[in-house]
Formats: sequence, structure tokens, C-alpha cells
Amino acid sequence: MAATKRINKELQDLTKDPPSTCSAGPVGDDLFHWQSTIMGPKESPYEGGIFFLNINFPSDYPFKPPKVTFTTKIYHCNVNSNGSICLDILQSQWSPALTVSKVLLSVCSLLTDPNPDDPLVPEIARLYKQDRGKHDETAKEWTRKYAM
Amino acid sequence: MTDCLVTDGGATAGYLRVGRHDFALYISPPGGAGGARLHGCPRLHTALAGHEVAVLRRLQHATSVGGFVGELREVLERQLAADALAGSLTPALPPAAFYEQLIAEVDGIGWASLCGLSPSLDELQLTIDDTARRAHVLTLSLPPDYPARSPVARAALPAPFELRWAPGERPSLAAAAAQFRGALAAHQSLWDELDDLDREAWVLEPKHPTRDVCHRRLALGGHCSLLVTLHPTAPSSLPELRFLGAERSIAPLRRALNSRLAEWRPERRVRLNLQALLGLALPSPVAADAADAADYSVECAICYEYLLDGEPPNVACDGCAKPFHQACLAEWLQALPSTQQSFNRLFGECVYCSKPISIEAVR
Repeated sequence: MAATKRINKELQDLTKDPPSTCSAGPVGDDLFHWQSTIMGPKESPYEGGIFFLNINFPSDYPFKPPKVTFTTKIYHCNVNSNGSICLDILQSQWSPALTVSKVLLSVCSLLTDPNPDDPLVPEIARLYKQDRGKHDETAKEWTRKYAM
Repeated sequence: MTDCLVTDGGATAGYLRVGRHDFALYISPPGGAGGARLHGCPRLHTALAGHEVAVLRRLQHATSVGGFVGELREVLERQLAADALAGSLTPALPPAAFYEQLIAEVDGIGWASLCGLSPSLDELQLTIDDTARRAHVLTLSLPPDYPARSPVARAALPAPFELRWAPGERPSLAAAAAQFRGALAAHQSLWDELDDLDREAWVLEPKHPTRDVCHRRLALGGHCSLLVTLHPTAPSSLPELRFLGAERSIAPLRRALNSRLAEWRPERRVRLNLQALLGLALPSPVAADAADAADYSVECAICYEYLLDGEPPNVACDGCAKPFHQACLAEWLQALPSTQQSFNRLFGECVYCSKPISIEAVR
């Protein structure tokens, strides 16, 4: 099974050299199902929050991208109420050169810089563009409520 | 008693409880064709194995169904007790003479050479040095009736090793060790060559070779490597050679090698022959610690495995030199709309550096 070895190797690399703002690892014995935490980036309305994510690897990983979803509610124009993330590298721009670690770092930078031009929740995107202060206020409130 | 037997119109049916077991049974009426018959669940038949005829005779002579069931219960109790006893017995241990013999023989060859022993004392490992003082491990599994039967030998040798005894010869540990030394002697020149490569060249793979492995993957510089597989029986002859790396870098090396194949001299070390034929100095193992060591990734950059169906990564990008299995890269490229195919060739981009790369679609 090619995927098993690859996922194991990624896990080893993550353990050996963990990124400072996120962590990830398998849930129980199932190597294809991971849980991950991301710390809300500094200088963003998500600062101080800890966000949980589910990572599911397809059996033909790394030819297909992992399925990454937020399990913590988050007010973000690229994350909907199911936790689905709109991120190009998780869809059409996936490449076997990417790793879970790189995907998580991309999610982190998506928290710092939302992409309102390709939104999953148009109302949040509109508010982000029209009234940034109000947007950040709501995002901070959600972070306090659900991620602390 | 928790039996549940019902007699209806001469036939008896129900369950009979013996110990912790329930047996389903049906006794046909004595008046029917062939007299009374006993039918039961498969478990009942297993429990009564070997006693069916006697049980049937008792049934036909029984005066009442109740009396027969009582007898059947007795038979089943005896059978179950015997089965339980047999099940709990451990396999027979070898006789004491086996252990005396073993101790005497290890005394004979010296306890220092005994490097491993299984808890049940039926498998032992001996360290045996060859003429060049390379240590080898011989694992011997002793049958319970040793020395009447030969032990089974296992060892990491490039050729299969089996103990052989002349007719009438009695197997012994000392003789097994002597046979093993004989087998070691046959491979001395192979190991001399491989040790020389391990010592003087930068071996990428295997990192910790065992003595049965006849191949080495040598770094050549410029992200290329050479897979050298020596013939176990003719180690100084021209080995099987396979270049791995970006086509642009290995093409000149392959040309150099092919033009000088006739210059291979069996009396010269394999390493020196390779240097002469390739026209370059093989990087020394010191280079392995250098900063560019990470450039020599051995595993496929897609599946992270070294071997896929026994094949090492056989494609490399001309730009970033990342190695790939042809199958992995083909599977990825074929899924991309931007990849073009012409006959059996795929034209796409490197997964890592996006430089154009082309490979065979199917092998």
C-alpha cells in the first residue's frame, strides 16, 4: 500500500520538525484519519483561538488531496458552516509535492489573509470588503465563543 | 438437569445438556423402518466419533428412551473429559538426552560462539568468522529428535545454504558449523569487493547491508547514481549496471561506459574497474556527510518508497533531479488535463519544479 508509507513518512517528518503554529496526528489506530490543531495567527481576529480540523486521506493519496475540514466553528468567508474550506490546493491545485504540513500552513495563512474574491460564504466576504471593522469584531467574538 | 426432551408419538426430540454443552438430538420411533435411530447436531457426532456403532446398539437394546438417554449422557461425559484433557496437554518435550547432547556439543564448539538461544532451547545462533574475520550468524533449528534428524540452517548468504550429511553421518553442531565455514569460503571474493565498495565509495543504498545482498547503489555526483549488482558466483566479472538519475546527466556516463566495456579487467577491483570505465572518481563516503547529501534522495518523491514492485525510482527530473517511479509519475500525469500524450509517451511538468518532463505512459 503506497499511501500508508507516504502518510507514515509525513507523520515522522511532522514529529521530527513540527511547525510552530499547528500540530497533527492520527486519531487512534487509523492512519488515514488525522486530527489537527491550528493556533489562530497573531494580528488576526482569530488570535488566541485554537481551531480543530479533521484530515481524511483518500486511499489513493498522494494522487488525490486529503480532505481537510474545520471541526471548530469559525467566522471566515472561505470556511462554511460545515467546516468545508475553499482553498485551491485542496482542490484543483493539489500536487503530490504538497504535504499535510504545507496544507496546514496554507490554512494558517488563509486565516491571516482571507480570499473574499472566491468566497464560500458570500455575506462574510461582502462584510469583509465593505466593513472590515465589523467583520473582525464578529470573527473575534466567534473565536472567543467557540475556539477558546 | 436442564435437558429439554419431548416425546411425541414415539419420537423423542430436544436438547441434552452435558457439562457446559447442549446437544440437539432426535430419536426416531422404535416402530419405524430400521428401528430406533439417533440423529443429532454435528457437535454430537463429533463428540461421539468412534463410538457411533456402540451407541446405536445400546439404543436398539434399550428398554426405554429415558434409559438410553442416561447411557448417552455417560458416554458423552467420558468423551468430553478425555477431549478436555487432551486439549490441555502441551506438546511433548524432547527427552533429557536432547539437552545433555546440546550442552555437550556447545561445550565442544565453545560457548563464546553462541550468540542467541530461543527460550525453548530448540533454536540457537552461532557467530562464525570467515577467513577475513567477517562475523556471520548461523541459525540452527533443532528438531525434537535431534540428532536423529538434521537441524534446519538459516543464514544470510547470497546463495541458498542447506546442511548435507553423508549416509550414516550423525548431525552435530560442530559439523554444521564446519559446513557453514565451507559455504562462507565460497563467497570471500564477493564480500571483499562489496566491503571495498562500502569502505571507499559513497553507498546510497542499502544503508545497512546484510551479507546476502549483492547490490550497492553508488552516488556518482550530479544527482546521478549507479546501481551495481555483482554476480554471487563471479564477483569480479562485469556486474549488472543500471544508471539512475536525470537522462541529461546519465547519457554521457552511459556512453563512456559502453565505449570502454572491453577494458573491464577481472583481476582489478570492481571499484577501480568502474572508475576506469566511467572515467571519473567515485565520490568517497566522506562526501555523504557534506551539505549536498540531501540532494541524493533515494526514495520516490511521490510515494516516498524506495522500491515499488521491486523497482527503484527510475525517472528523474532534468531540472530539480527529484527521482520518481515511472508508475507513480505516470499515474499523476495521466490525471492532469495539461498532460499531453503522444503514442506511449506522456509530456507534462515535474511535480516539484514544473520543468517539462516526459516519460513512458505504460511499461
